[in-house]
Amino acid sequence: MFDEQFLKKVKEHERRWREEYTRRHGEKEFKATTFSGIPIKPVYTPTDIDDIDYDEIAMPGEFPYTRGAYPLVHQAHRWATQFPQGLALPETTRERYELLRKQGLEGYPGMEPPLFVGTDMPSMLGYDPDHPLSKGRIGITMPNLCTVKEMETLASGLPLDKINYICAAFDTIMINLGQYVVVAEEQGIPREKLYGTCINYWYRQMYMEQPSFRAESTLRFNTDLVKYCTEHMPNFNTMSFSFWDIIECGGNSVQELAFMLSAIIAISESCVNAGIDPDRFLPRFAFHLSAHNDFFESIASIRALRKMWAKIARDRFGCKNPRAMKAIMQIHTAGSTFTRQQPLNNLIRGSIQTLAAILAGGNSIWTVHFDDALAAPTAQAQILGLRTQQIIRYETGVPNVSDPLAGSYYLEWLTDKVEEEATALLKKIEGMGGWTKCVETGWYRREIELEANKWRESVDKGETTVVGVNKFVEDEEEQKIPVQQYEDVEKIVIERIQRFREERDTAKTNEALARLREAAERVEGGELEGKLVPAAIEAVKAKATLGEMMDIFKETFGWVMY
Amino acid sequence: MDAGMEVVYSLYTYPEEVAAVAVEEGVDVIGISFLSFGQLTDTPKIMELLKEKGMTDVLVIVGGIIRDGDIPKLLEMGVARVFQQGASMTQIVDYINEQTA
Repeated sequence: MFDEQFLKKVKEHERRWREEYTRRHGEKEFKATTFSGIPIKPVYTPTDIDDIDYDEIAMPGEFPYTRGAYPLVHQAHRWATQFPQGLALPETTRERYELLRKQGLEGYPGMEPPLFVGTDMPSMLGYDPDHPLSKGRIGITMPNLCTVKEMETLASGLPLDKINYICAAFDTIMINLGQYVVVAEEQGIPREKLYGTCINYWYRQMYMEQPSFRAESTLRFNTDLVKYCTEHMPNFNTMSFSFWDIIECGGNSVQELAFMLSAIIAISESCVNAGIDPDRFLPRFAFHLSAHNDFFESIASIRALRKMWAKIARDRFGCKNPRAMKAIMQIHTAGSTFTRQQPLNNLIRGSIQTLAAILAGGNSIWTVHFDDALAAPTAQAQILGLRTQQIIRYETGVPNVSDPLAGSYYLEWLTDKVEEEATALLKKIEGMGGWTKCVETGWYRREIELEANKWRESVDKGETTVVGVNKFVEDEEEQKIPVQQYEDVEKIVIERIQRFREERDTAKTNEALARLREAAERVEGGELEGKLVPAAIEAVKAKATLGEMMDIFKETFGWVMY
Repeated sequence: MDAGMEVVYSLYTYPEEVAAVAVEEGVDVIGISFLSFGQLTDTPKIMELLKEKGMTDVLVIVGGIIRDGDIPKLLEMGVARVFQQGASMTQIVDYINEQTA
C-alpha cells in the first residue's frame, strides 16, 4: 500500500520506538490476545498494513463495502433505534411500543419506529399456552402470540405500511407472519406493501440446544418462504442471520463469521437450486451482529463481514445487483456480558458497545437493557438503552464522519486478520460437508461449547476479569433494582385461547389445516413453489392456532435434536 | 466425565422425564437449569415425583436465570441450593463434592 521511501521512514521510527521501549522495559513483552485469541502487538504501524490492497478498504458505498453499504453512513441514513418491545401480553407490549415511540424511538428515514416483537418460549417452540410444556413459561420472555386475535391486539390500528415489523418467531415464522398479514389486510394494507424482517433462526442448532426441523427439511421449508416473499412480499426480509447468537452462546468472532456464513451459503444454494434469482432474494437477507466486550475486534469483525459477504455474493453466486452484495446490519450489544451483580455497570458496558456498533456503521442498533441478566426490561431500563443511542447521535459528533476509524493501522490489520481466519475456517467447514453435515453431527455446537467452557474457566480462575463478579465484588443486598413482573398472565392467555377455540367454526378450521398439511407435504417432497405461506395465511384466517399449525409442521418436517 | 463426575444430560423436557432418568441412572444429584422460566411449576412437580419413587436422598440444585424472590420458594420445595446468574463452575462443583462426600 505504501512506497518504499515512506516505509523506510516508518521503519526508522519503529527502530527509535524499539530503542525507547528497551530503555524503559528491557526485554519484557506485553502480550495480549483479542477475544478470539488472535495475538496482538502493543503498537501497530503502516508496515502492518502495507500488504493490504487498498481496493479491499475502498470508499464507503464502494465494493467490497468494508466501510459501509452507502457513500454516507449515518449522516444520510440514520440508524434505526431498534429495541424489542415484547412483554407478557400483546396489550402490554403495545403499551411499551407506544411509550418508546413517545421517548423518541426512530425507524429508518421516512419510516415509523420499528415494531420489534418476538414471542415467548412456548410460542417459539410451537406449543399453545394450554399445552403442558407451556406451564410456568407463558409471557415471561415476550408475549404469547398463539392466535390471530393476539396479533390484532398487538398491531391493529398502527400504520403498518410504514413500519418495520421485526418478527422473531423461530420455526413458527410462517404462522406469526401469516397473522401479521391477516391483520394488515383487515385494515386494507396489502401484503405487498409490508416491511419487516423474519427472525426464523432455522440454523439455531449450530449453537442452541433446542429442537428444530430436520436440517434438510428446514432448508426446503425456508426456501419455500423465500420463494413466496420474493414474489409477493418484496419489502420483507425473509431471514435474519444471527451472528450475534454465536457470540452470545460462547463462540468467538472468527467462529461467528465462518459458522454463520456457512449457513447463509447453504440456504442460498438451496434457493438458487429452486430457481430463485440471487439478485432478487439476497437483498432480502439481513445480518445481525454483535458488539461485545472486545471493542476493536467487534468493529473489525463487522467490517470484515461486509467484505466477506460482498465477495461471496459476487464471486460465488454471480450477483450483479450491488444491493445483493451489501450486508445490511442490525448490531446488538452483548447481553451475555451483562451481569446480575452490580447491574448498573451494564449501562456502561452497553454504552461502550453501542459506540462500537455506531463506529462500525450498524444500520439498526439495539442497546440491551441493563437489567437483561434479571428479567424482561422495566420501562426505565429500556428508555436508558434508547437514551444511550440518542446521546451518541445528538451530542458526541460521532455520526458526522463515515467509518471514522478506517486507516487505523491496528483496525485495518485486525479487519484483515479476522477475514483471513474466518475464511480459513469457512473452508474447513466446507471441506467437512458444509452446513447440513456439520449441524447434523453437532460439530458447531461442540466447537462453541469448548470455547464457552474456556471462557468460563478463565473467569473462574480470574484470568479474565468481569467487574463486579470476580473482581471489585460488593455486597449484593445493596444493589437491588426493580424487576419487571406481571401477574396472572398465564391464566389470561389460557382463557383467551380456550374462548377462541369455542367461538370458531371448527369444520372450517379443520379444512384449512388439512390444506396446510397437503402444502407442507408437497414442500417436504421437494416442490418448492412458494405455496406454504399462503396456506398458512389461510389457516390463520380460518382461526387455526399456532400449536395446531406447528403440530403439522413438526410431523412433516421433523422435530429433532442433533 | 466432568470434574470427576459422571454427567447424564437431558434437554427441555417434562418433569416426568427428569424423574424417570434420575431413577434409571440412580443419580446422586439433579441439577436443573431454567433459562426461560418454569422453575416454580416444574420444580415442585419433580420433587413430588422423586418422593413418589422413594428418591428422597437425592440432592436437587437449581440454576439459571432465577429471580431473588424465587429462592425462598424453591428452598421451601426441598431444593438444596440455588445458583443464580454469574455463579462460578468451581462454586457449584465444590458444593456438590461437599454435599455428597
